[in-house]
Amino acid sequence: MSNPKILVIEDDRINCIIYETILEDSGVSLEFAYDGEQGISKFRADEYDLVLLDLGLPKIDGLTVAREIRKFELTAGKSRTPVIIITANSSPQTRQNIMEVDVDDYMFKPFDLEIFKSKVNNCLKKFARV
Amino acid sequence: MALLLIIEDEKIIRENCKELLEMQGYTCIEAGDGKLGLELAVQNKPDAIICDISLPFLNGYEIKSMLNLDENTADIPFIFLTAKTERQDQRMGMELGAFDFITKPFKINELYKTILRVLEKKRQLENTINNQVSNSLIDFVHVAKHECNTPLHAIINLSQLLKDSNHTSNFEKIVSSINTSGKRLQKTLNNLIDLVRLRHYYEEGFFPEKEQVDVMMQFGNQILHFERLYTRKIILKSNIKQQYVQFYQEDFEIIIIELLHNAIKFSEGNDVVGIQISANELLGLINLSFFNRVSRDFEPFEISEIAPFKQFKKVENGQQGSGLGLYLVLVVCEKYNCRLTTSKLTDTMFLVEVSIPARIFN
Repeated sequence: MSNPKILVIEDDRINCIIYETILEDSGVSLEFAYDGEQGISKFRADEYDLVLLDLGLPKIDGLTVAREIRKFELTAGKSRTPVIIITANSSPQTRQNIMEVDVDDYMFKPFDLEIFKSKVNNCLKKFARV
Repeated sequence: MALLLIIEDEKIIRENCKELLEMQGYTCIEAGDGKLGLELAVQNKPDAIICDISLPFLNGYEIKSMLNLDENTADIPFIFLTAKTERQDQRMGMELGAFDFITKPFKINELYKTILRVLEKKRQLENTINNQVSNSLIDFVHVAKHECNTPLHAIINLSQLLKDSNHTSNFEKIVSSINTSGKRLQKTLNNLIDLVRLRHYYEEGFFPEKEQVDVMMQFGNQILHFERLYTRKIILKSNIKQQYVQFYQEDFEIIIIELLHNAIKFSEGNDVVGIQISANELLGLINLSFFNRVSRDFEPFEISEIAPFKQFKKVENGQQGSGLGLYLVLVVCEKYNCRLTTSKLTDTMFLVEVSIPARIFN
């Protein structure tokens, strides 16, 4: 079985460095999309085991990206890819918005590295492709 | 229970009122003349004052006028108790902000009802004020938390990663990211302090004394700083040599710094940022225009969209800030009667302009 592949949709390069460093030795491969539009097109063009999704993205916001991902899976008859939303905005409105989209988990920044790793592993295990 | 002050020189009426109101559960203090009444009002800040008009030393209107001068006592609900029923008297009392008039002789039920009404209104007002204060506090905490969390996230986790790993291929990137995040956090904290200063202090009347701010000098300093910081070229054009505006300097700096940040943030690639300063003698306005090149699909944001949480459509990747800086500019403009406008001059040229009322020197 090949290494799990994660699509990181995040416009802040510093956050990308964080993901890259945390997952450096964990045997996963990362691909980055730096805005919502790029995120959707990368998701459509390839197979991923997990999507890490920021909310405040250029061009298309994260919530719309999450909805587009689910819509695409449905129309293309693809199996479900887990999506974890990661955002710095923990306002009640944002929490409400996250509850209303069909994602598998969410985390607020600043997060605990160990919790992040375990959430990523859980999602990868739960949705492991055969 | 509520504290009531009764100011009445007729002993029988005063004592009767006190006794009957105390039977209703109120705590009462009393004064037989205007001077003592004023003293007791200032010392005790009662929940309501029931006051006769004709009194020794100071009459009821004089007491109310003096209480109006002090913000601690101006809002104490005031009920005039009087034998005089002339319309002129009543109007004067109302103009001074009296809550109600009760004409002697009165039925005690009438006084009870008036006091209940006055206390209910006071309670409602206090609730409204408390809600407004806590709402703006909640807003501020949300903004502060959101704005600080991104750089904090990077500083905490990147330093943790450095601590945990003996080797990482990202060492250089991590160190420089920690440094950048520290600077972002510093800017965010400064912006939040400015937000409190502008939104809350100023609204409570702590407006700093304005100074004569030298427009060209301020721009010169900031442009130098920005060109170094971002290694970007900023071109300044001006039809004036020397011009002053009446500003608190820190507020003027907010306009320059945030709009320059904005122009750099929204511009395409490493393009030049342009500033034009012009004076309109006829209208008595100094116009500060910030130009930057944007992509064709960039949609100019409307002034009405500016809010602390708002992230405008980011054309470039990795842009930081979520509208707090621009919101500060908007607040400064409101405080100084300036006009803030945005427009797209051509398909690829974006303009943000601030018009400041000023005495033109040229």
